[in-house]
Amino acid sequence: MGMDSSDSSRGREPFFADSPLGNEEWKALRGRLKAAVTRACPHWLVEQIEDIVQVVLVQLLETLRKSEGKREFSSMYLAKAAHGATVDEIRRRSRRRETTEGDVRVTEPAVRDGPNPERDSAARELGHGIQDCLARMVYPRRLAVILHLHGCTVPETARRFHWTAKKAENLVYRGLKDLRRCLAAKGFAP
Amino acid sequence: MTTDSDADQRLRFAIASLDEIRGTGTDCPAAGRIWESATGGLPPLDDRAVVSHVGECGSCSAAWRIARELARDEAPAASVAPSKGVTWRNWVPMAAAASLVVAVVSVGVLWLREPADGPPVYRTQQGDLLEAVPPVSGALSRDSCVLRWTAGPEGTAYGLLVMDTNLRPLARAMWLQRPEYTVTPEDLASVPAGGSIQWRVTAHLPDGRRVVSRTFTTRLE
Repeated sequence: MGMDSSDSSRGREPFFADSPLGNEEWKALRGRLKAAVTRACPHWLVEQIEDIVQVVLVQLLETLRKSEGKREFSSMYLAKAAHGATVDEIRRRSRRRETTEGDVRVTEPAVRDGPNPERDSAARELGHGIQDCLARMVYPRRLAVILHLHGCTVPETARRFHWTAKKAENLVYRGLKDLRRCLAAKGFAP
Repeated sequence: MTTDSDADQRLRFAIASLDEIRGTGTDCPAAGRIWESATGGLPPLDDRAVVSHVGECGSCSAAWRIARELARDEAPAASVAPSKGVTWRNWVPMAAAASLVVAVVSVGVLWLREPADGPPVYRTQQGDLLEAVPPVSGALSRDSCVLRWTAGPEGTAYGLLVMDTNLRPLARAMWLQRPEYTVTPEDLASVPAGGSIQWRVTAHLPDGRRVVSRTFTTRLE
């Protein structure tokens, strides 16, 4: 057996050799974490999954050492840790993409390897149009529309901001109307 | 009226296609704060500030969506609105009814599931849409290792991650147009005869949503 209990550190990365966890526990934690990172990663970050897992493992190991190995990690804790590391990587990547050439900022598109570059390019153009229109919108309508576009239901929106359901519904309705009018003025077909 | 329409789906897809950071990124909320907002854990005033930023920053918008998906997978009940007016008087019959439903559904699920000696299938996430096709039962030849799964709506693109039983990646594929993929014998070289591979599919739906399958296990000859 390559990784047996007689030497629990064998087969691990050197940094993790003195982990307070046994080998099986370690493998199980790594597996759970990897599953969480895999779910968190957008498709364009798939290549970075191993790196992200490694970053989170280092963080978890620090936590374990501080607790002398007594700490247990819930699935939600791992999901949150995976989220944090993935967001860091998204931001790093986004900053890397943006390069300054004199006064001209060149931004590579987010999706370069999609199956339909034309559609993706049109979607990004529309996405920027939406951001611009949202910035001009009355504040409460803007909040309601942002949440709507991110998949929140009217009851959820109402609950978040302590609005009545009727008020939230009106704000989404009027906000979407504003948005469509603004996009039409920018030349985007409804 | 605020029901979803095709136009709304198009707007969502457009928003989801952005990941550029706003400005220098110095005013982006910390990842933990985005998580709290996405999972409904911030006070309204703080939540407004984060949501407002999410509307103008593609990078934080992606972070917000990811947090929401992850949290929903981990605690499906958390996204359900707390029902008001439930007291011990109506709780007892409700619990009894719920138990009955659970029992009936469990029997149905057990009846429909593969035999107990079939390959293990790990915890379901939100990817019930994606199932291995045909149900993974026999061993696949490594010279013709074609993984197939159920198709999503038209226009869905698929990502695939194939791993060994230690979760080491063996093969990855992105933007597959068809719900199938052939793993090459070279990719399977490290898997011993009679060994297994694990694989999961990510479907990128036309409306911009992402669905991840559970992990399937397939035995090799």
